Amino acid sequence: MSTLAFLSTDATADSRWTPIARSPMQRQQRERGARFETRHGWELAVAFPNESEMLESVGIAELPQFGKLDVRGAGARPSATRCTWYQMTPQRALCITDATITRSVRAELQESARQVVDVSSGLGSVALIGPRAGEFLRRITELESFPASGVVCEVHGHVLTINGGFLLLFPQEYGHYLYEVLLDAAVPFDGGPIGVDGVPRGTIW
Amino acid sequence: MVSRLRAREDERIDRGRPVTFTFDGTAVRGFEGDTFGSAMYAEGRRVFSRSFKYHRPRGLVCCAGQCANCMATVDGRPNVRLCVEPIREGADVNGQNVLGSVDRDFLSAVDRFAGPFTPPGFYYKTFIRPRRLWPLYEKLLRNAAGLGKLNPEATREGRFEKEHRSVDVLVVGGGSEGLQAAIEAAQAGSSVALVDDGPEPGGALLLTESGDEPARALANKAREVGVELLCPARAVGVYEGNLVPIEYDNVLIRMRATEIVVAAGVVEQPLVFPGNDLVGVMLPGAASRLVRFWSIKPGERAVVITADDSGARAVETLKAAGVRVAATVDLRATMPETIVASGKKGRVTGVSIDGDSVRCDLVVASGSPQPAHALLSHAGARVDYDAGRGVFVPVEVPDGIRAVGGAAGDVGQPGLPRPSFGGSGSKAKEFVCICEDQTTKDLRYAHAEGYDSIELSKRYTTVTMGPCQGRLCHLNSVRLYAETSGTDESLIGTTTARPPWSPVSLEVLAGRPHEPARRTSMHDRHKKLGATMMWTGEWRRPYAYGDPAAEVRGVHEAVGIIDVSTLGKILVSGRDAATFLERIYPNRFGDMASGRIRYGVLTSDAGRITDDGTIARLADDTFYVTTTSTGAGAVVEWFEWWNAIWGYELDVVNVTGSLAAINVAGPDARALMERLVDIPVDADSFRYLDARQGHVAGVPSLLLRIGFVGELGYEIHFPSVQGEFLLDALVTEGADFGAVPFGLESQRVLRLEKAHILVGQDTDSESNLLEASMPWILKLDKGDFVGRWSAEQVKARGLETRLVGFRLKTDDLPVEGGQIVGDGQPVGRITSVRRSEAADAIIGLAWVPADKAVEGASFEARVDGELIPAEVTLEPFYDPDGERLRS
Ligand code: FES
Repeated sequence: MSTLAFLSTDATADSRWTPIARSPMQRQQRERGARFETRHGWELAVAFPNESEMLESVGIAELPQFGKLDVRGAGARPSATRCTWYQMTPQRALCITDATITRSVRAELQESARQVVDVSSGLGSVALIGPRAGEFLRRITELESFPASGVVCEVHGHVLTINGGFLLLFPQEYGHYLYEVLLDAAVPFDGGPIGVDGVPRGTIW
Repeated sequence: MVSRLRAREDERIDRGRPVTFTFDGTAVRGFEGDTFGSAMYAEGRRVFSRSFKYHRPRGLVCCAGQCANCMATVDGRPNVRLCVEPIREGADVNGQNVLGSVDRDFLSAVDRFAGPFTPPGFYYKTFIRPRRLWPLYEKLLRNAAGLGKLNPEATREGRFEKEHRSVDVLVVGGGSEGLQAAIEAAQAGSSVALVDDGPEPGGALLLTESGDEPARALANKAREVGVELLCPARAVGVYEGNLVPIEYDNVLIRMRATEIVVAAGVVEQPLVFPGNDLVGVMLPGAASRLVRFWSIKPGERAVVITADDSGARAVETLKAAGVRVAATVDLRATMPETIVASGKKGRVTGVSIDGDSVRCDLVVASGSPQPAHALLSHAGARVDYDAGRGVFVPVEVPDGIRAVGGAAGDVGQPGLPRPSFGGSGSKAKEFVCICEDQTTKDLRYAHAEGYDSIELSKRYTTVTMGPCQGRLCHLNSVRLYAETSGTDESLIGTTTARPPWSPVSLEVLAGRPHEPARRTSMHDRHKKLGATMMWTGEWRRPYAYGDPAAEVRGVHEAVGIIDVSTLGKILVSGRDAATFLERIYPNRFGDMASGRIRYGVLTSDAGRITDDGTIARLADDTFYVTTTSTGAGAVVEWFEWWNAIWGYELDVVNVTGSLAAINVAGPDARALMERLVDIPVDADSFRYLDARQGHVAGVPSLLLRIGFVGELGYEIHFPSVQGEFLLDALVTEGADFGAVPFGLESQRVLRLEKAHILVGQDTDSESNLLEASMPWILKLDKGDFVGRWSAEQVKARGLETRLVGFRLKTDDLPVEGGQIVGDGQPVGRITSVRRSEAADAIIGLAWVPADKAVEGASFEARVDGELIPAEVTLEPFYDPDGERLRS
């Protein structure tokens, strides 16, 4: 195993076991009628009731399966398309990847970066999608030009733009709290949860 | 007496939609579009409240939400201004600050009899003897004076939001100048929002005959060109960075604007004359609003006294409403020597102007139109007194702020009223501040007592500190002070204007309650396993899953499983990582082999213990540092702060949230691990203080052989999202070993048995390594490190106190923090104490005088007021040679 392999869920090797990754939002998702499926080693909330109504205002989709790489040192950039690059400082970037390519992007970046740390497990991710996503975002953060890092719902996080909305990244240990706060904030908008499969095609990549 | 006029074209009420509520238990009927105040006035009510101190009857004065005269309690909510609060079906409205009712308030005796006892600052003078009665006086005074009462049992009702916005231009004030400025800015391509406190923009235009049309035309034009109209909404103040909080319904909009245009207009000032607070004395704007907005006839016979054109406008409006105008005084043309209002049962019945009496039931009076400059002052504008016009005007406005219209000083050439029209003959009270019941006599008294600065006077008399926040009394108090001291107003100056300019409820400021808590990825599993949770810093952790003593036994006799994900976890990597750690820690790391672990204690540059944890060398240039549960953030900052100075080539990455951690400890720990791991864990392959990578139940993991709880143990660090899965696997596979999950309480007993310290519990901000009995950490034979100098000083001066273990010869458990007593004096304290079955004693750690730090020495601890002998133990209470740990 490489020195930092223990940080990556995709370093799973033992065939006797099939580890499952779960997000801290799962209990609340279950309470809201989510349907779950196991994909890429994750138990994912793939669908919720009334998703199309939510998407007319603001839909809140947890997408925990994305890879997140903390990249140190200037210069490295991935060649893959299904990933998003957020240059936080000249010497530090966050690379968000589709779950299927996290391993290969990590390997590619390790060639040129000073340090690549897999923080996929450390950062939760939630997409806010819909015509009122911008208005909704203004209720939960002071940040206004994106991508940006700062306080979202009293917790330090990152906000990136996606097609028709925003992607929030935040420390996973606040996931249960953040989900509760986001769903509550969505009430006046008639917004609510949507599943991984409810995210319109082309929203992220 | 019903005062509603016949239907008018532009009235705000919808007569087809009646609304009923109660005031002090009596039904009041109004219409949709009414405010509580207008509906009550229309039904004949004239007394709306009782004054703050004297309990004088008070009626509508401004009808614009600027004073305190119509404050009442609505559905349990105190201090609601009835004149601007929209009517609601079924609302329960009650008078406040009364003993009885607003019509018959028994506390009004204060007005008649208590005058001599209530000069400014009376609570420092007349109610101080005997001193022991002050609590009683205070209670009486607080009950007799004030505003509405908060219900301490009240719970949050409704939803309150905050919204963060930004625009190019924010216009405050929706009068003609404000609308015009907004339209121009929008036409120039700026994003523009306009805030106005009325239900529709228009400002003073709406108070004039034929003003509605142009007001609506301007508002429509503004909408057309893209101006966002926020009405009714109130700008609370101007803060740094052009931040303007706006109360908009249940939302507090935190608006940032590149430019703020203050178009707040003017505030009509009351005239100061005896009887000026009688019910029926009101400002011209109030009379106009009653007529124009709600089709109410304000009175039958009016006297109008004003210093500008508002008088002529009021006369026109009153006449149109059928009010007989008995006399008009334009202070620009005539300046009477005296004006005295007289009344019966608190209501005005006539006015005497220079001795000429006029009968009336309505006095419409105002002095100078004061530019509403408060928001400009918040932003740092300078305000000067304009002696020719008798008002304060903004003169230096900072960049990014602009004033237009009345707020900018565009008030024409008003007359200059006398600071007081009382003359020398009248005995009636002449109010400068109606909110706080402060009269001309009070202010002159304060001045004579030496409170000759307006800022001191404000604090002493409380003028300008009431609900109007100086809107209706600031100018008059300054002018009276200038007259009293024989100087001019510019030398008196203004008091400092501070937000909020408009009152804002605390629930709106607070918004939705947030309580971010950190939970480990196994939180829900702990609860399923029956854990009771507790706070440790921001984290939620299991306290116990049942009986902590049974959990301790389980760890000693079989195997226990504890979630230690809250430990801080930091990667330090790079060419200079080892050099850096050598320099920031007091002990050595450069000589450590890859795959080995060492305990480390961080100290400040003053040598005080700040954090502790383990440091594993994963590769030549990569170290894995753990910290206390609440310490990760501070340690990362500490590392980065020092490296900003040292400039070593390394990266510090906080991976606390990325990794979960579980400690598996107990004599059966190895057997359990063997079932789950894909690497050898026998004693030779995986020694005490080794770090290895492998898979545990298929989960990629870093395994650390360490033992905080004193038994053979493996700490498994792995991706946190697989926390539930791995915990399930350990519990299932460990079932036949009798594996028990254990919580913080049992962990505290177990670590205490080993005399392992908890930083922050057993140490404080003064604790150093030598006195905390950890001299072995200090490597004074290596190069410089953070805290070295201080450690050398402690060594040179000798130890004064020591952290030692102790056994107590009692069955009573002392409290943590309890005293250690020597010669009858407190000489130390207990930091940790628990009952240990394994040690068969009450054991603990305590700071004692250094000369007591000898094996077997005795000292006394105070337990429930009694002194109990204790015996010093310098070795761990359990497995002192660490054989179980190393097995
Ligand atoms: S009359 Fe309502 S605030 Fe002045």
